[in-house]
Amino acid sequence: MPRDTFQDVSDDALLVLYANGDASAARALTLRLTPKVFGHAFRVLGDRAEAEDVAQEALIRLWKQATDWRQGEAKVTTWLYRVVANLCTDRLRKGRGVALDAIPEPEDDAESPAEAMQQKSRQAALQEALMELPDRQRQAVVLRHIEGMSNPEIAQIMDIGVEAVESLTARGKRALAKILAGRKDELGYSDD
Amino acid sequence: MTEKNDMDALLNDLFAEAKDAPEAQVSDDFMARMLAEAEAHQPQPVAMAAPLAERGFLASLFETLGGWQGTGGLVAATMASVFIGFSGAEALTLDGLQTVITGDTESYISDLSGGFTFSTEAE
Repeated sequence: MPRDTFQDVSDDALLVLYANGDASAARALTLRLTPKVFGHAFRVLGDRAEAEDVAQEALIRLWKQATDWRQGEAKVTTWLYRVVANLCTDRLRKGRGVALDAIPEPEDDAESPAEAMQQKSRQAALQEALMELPDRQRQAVVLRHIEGMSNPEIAQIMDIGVEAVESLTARGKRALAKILAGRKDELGYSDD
Repeated sequence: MTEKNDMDALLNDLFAEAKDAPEAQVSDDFMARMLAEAEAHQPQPVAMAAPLAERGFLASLFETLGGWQGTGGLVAATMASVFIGFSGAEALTLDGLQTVITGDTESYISDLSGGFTFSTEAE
């Protein structure tokens, strides 16, 4: 995959170059931002095709916004994650995202948790557990613990207070621990 | 290690692995599509003004002087200088101007040179 040749250039500056018709800036921004928006959408929606649709829509909105972008007012990534978060929420509300019913529950009679887990990677287990969280909790946990964002930044993206972010991530992490607690052995975390 | 610490460690490891998890990575096909989209939506570069060298010497000089206003002022100042040159510098002196305005007005010029000296009483 091509590399970002503007590593030291900020997203803001690249977006200005993009708006001025610089083709190399378009390439650099796309290479830099696509993995972020897709990764977040995938973790929240649990489906690659849905995540691609959301990532594509979010980036198109950014390109259309480029000429009117006001430097210094908001970070490009914050703006973009906010668009992605809203698009994901819309899809989840409409039931278009991969909902819980698409993912086998651990208590499912057809297959024991042990058998199911043996066939799944650790990441699949994490994704399943994430999909069991309420939507907002899942978004906050993904932004905080996988994307590595700060609480104030997440607050801006989700349009809530910092305390609410702290509460969502704490409850989300506790819920994940509870969901995954019975699968430690299968995840390679035996007590011995 | 407590149960809580065990689970924290497990979750932290899973989160760290998730950042590079293959299933959350963009496919080459999708990236190619996104690159094409970015190009398709990109505004076209604005046409820049032609360089000075391509516009001829007189046009460049005209712009350098400040367009119509600047050039007009320069022409007026030049014409005034030419007029003064032809009419003689005398008309511009104080005497000359008074003569022009009042005709035979007499003028008095104090001559401070010569034997005029200051003296002090203490002497």
